[in-house]
Amino acid sequence: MNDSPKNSPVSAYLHDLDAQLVRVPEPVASQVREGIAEELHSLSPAVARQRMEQLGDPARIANEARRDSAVIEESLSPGLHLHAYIVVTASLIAVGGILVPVLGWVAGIVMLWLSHAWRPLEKIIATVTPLLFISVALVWQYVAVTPPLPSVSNSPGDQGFHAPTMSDFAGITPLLPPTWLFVALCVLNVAIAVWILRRGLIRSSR
Amino acid sequence: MGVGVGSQLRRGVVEYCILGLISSQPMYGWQLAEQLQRVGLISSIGTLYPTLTRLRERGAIRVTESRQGVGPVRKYYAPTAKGEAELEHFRNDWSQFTHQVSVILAKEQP
Repeated sequence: MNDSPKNSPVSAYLHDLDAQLVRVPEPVASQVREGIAEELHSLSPAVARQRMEQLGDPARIANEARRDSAVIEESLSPGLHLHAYIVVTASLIAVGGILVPVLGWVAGIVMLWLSHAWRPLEKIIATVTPLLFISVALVWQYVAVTPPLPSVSNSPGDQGFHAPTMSDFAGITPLLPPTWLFVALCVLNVAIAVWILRRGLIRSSR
Repeated sequence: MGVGVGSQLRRGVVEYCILGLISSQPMYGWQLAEQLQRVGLISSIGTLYPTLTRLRERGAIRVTESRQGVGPVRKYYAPTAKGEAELEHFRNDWSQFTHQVSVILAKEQP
């Protein structure tokens, strides 16, 4: 359809389809959605309405896609039960970075991207959000919280060049994140892990 | 033909029918769904995409995005060299298979 306002019948149909496809694993769900959307968006409103009638109930389309996707999921995760995979992935994202700093979290993210249990957008959100948060927090910490550099002493005994001490750099280096940032990052990762776990388990449930 | 046997037969041949359809010219999802539904090989477009995913996973088809004429950009499916080889192999097997089944069924008729 050339003009597709958000409240058009096509948008409503696609919205309904999206809701029904929640339980269909990736990449099938995205392909079904894209295939139907590209067809409906190419038609005039009147023809699109006929096409939607021809397509039928989104629930039926999603059910058939889910039924036929079972074979794909089994072949993509040989020897590893999908639910167990989802739980391990979410656990690594939540606490992997605490158990094995950085690498534990990275392992969880790698598992996330290797699986078809999550949609590309969910993978991007789970990966980018903590990185974005820590980047913004460190910039803010550096710009807003950093104390001014120690002023040069004018006392006669302190005059001349001297090596800086650690106290001169306290609060300056972003390589030493403060405790609040560490705690906030942990909470954020747990929240993302719970969301990822929920999305994965709902979709993988038959 | 019972419903169960028909369903299994359809599921077994639909991948090769897709390869056969796109071997002459690349097709997009809706075109494929329409043709396959018309002959009863799939019941809805929901059945098509899991099959296309299986074909992609094993490298039998490739997907390209292109615009035909003034229409929208669409995903077109075409067979890879591996897909063409699979199709050719299936064509040979299928003709033998149907011939043998026909012979057996013919014998059982009075």
